[in-house]
Amino acid sequence: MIARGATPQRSAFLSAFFTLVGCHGLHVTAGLIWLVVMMAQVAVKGFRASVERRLLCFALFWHALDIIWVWLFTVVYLMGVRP
Amino acid sequence: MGIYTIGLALAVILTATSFWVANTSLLWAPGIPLGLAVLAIAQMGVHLVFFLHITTGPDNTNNVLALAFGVLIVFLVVAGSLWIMTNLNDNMMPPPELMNLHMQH
Repeated sequence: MIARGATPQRSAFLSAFFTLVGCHGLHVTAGLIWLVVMMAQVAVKGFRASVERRLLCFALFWHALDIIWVWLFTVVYLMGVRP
Repeated sequence: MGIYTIGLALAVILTATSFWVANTSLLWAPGIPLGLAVLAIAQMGVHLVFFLHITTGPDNTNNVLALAFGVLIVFLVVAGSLWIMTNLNDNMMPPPELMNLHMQH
């Protein structure tokens, strides 16, 4: 997209596009790291109470991220492709 | 069929419908953004119910209240931002000659 001239400076839509998708991507990256950490904890420590609580927190974060993506995708891509 | 499978099926159906709505020429074009918003909110509801287990049960009151409070805060932030930015746009637009000067850089 950048190579085709669609840079954040081009328009308000593209500024918002890169900010929103970029921030979401950072959160997903952090979530993936968290996911690997939780997998390691389950493998090493097993399902003890503290690990289950952390898993619950991670599930909350991950599904909330998913809900935000539904809205983001609708606004940025589905509505963005309309003329 | 597990609750997650039902949720996944509903989410896939709603997503596929959204893609169809965004790309079809069969629908009245000005209504499409509203239709997409409705589909998105429906899918957010599916995620809340099937993945985050928000229910109407008495043991879930705290979660529902926390969700309602979160929605209120998000509404205030979004509506407040739009309110302020509309005001700025109306009252602080530079005059046309200034705009042209700016464009020449």
